[in-house]
Amino acid sequence: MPETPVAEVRSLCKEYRITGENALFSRTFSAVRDVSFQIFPGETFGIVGESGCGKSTVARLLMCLEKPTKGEVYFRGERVDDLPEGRRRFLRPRFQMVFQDSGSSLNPRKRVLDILGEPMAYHGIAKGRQAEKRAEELLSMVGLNPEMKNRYPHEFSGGQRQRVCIAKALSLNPDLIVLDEPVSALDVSVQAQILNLLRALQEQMNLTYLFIGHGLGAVHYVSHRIAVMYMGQVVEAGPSDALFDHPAHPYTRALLDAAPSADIAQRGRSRISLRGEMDDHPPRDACPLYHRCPYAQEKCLSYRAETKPLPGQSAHITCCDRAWEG
Amino acid sequence: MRKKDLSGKYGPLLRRFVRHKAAVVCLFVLTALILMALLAPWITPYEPTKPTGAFSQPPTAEHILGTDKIGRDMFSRILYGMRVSLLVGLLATLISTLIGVALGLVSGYFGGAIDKAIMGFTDMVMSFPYILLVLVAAAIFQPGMWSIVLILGFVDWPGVARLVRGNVLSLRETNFVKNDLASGMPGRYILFSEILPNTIAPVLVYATSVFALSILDEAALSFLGMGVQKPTPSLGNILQGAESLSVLTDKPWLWVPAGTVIVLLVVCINFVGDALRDALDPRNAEG
Repeated sequence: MPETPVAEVRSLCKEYRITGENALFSRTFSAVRDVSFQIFPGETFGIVGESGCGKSTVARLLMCLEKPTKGEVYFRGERVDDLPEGRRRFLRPRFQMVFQDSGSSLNPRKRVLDILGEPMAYHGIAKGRQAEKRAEELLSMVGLNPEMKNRYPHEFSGGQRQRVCIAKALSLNPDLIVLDEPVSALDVSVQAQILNLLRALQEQMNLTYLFIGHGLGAVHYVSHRIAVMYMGQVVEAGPSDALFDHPAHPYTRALLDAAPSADIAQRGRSRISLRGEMDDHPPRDACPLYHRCPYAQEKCLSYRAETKPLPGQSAHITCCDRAWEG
Repeated sequence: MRKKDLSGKYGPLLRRFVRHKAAVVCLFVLTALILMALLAPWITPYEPTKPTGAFSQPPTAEHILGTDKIGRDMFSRILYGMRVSLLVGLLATLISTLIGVALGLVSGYFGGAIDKAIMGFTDMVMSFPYILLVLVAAAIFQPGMWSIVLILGFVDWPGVARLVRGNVLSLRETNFVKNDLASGMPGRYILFSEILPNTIAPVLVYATSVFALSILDEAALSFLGMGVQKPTPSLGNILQGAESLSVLTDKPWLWVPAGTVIVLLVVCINFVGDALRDALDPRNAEG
């Protein structure tokens, strides 16, 4: 591919030590296993998966808020995960993050003007009057009244606060914005507004997003490409529409089938559903979905955990043997 | 009533404070006492350290609270003693709060070995029998007002340090601090502009109780002769007169007023602190 990706992760792994009552019982928990993907300029890359599948950990690793156990993080072709923080600091304004909980994303004791202005001043983007003007611009860009710059965070509604968070992320002219479940905590009607705002901003400014969510509809709506994660692994990834129309992995199918549909034509369709809960301990070497998959076979017990393209579709990859066989 | 006047930035805060009736009364009492102490030279015609009447004289028109064993006016001694006690309390609180905030911030923010070391030291200081530590320190150093200030200041900080550390630990997990880290904001900005302003309120509330406690400790030390030295009056060393049984039973004017003032100060400060805690917590919905 000729274009350099804005961000890339290669074979990212993250393990956490779980310490029990005594040291003998401590074990490691793999939150992220061998995750690789690239994000290209101007696109939205979506990551979807149920709670605890490691999607937020991937975001934190990409943002270099945590150190990966294994693997590499690249930003515009430059490796950043092993840089000392002192040098990485100058790259940081170029990748920004928006969190799920907008309530704790803004310092309750500061006015919006200061929340937006202080980072701009520190990074030398705008100071004083100029920063104030820029803050007003940013507020109107995200659909808020510029007069609101003197308000405190608790004087906003949840949706408005999320808009302020987006304005804050935009303020440093980032190359990439990581959106960690930005709409999950909002009302459905507000969710749609925020998603539309994100899309409009992307069109206007050619922004690049990493969009993380557990609501399939939202992720599908904004993303160009999607990766589905399950238990720390990417089980399937591909162009958004291909993945939705022809899910290859049983987990993706189950996720799609679990979403209620208003489309009458879809009613009669056969659905698959998973058994049980996400299990921490599938048998060693087995497919992580082994316990829950309706198609589980003996060969799934010895599983190679590599993602390969589907026959004839180089962009659509999955790790399920069954899919390759068709 | 005058609810309309309580608007503006501090309106809700004031409204929540006013809901504590006892605290409002206490605030008035406290203000009156502090004003009396500050304006002592204009209120009383007598020097607190010079004999101006008969020995151990019961209250009269000239000496409204009587005179002490060597003929000094009790009223002016109490006023001037209040000055000393308040000053000791204030300075000791200031010192201990500064130490506590500094150690708590460092401990909570940097964590790891630094945190362990500081918290270990804090636990050590906390586990010493408090009054004994103060007594030993007072015995080693020259007793006097300034050494009391320093001793109390250097002994009272562990509570503040723990409080601040706990706050920093929880604030570090908030998204706005994570966002600062992700934006490459420097540590000093995160520490002093984001975390510190959010810990001021609880520290302020805690400081009021340290203030009350310091006044009590000063009184206890001075009563034991390890604190403020005569002839300088303090509320504690005025009470020293009550060491003898005859004074205790027959000459109540030598100890009842000073004791009452201490009780009033401590009770009022605590009540105001309580109301302040509720007022500063915005989660207390407006009634």
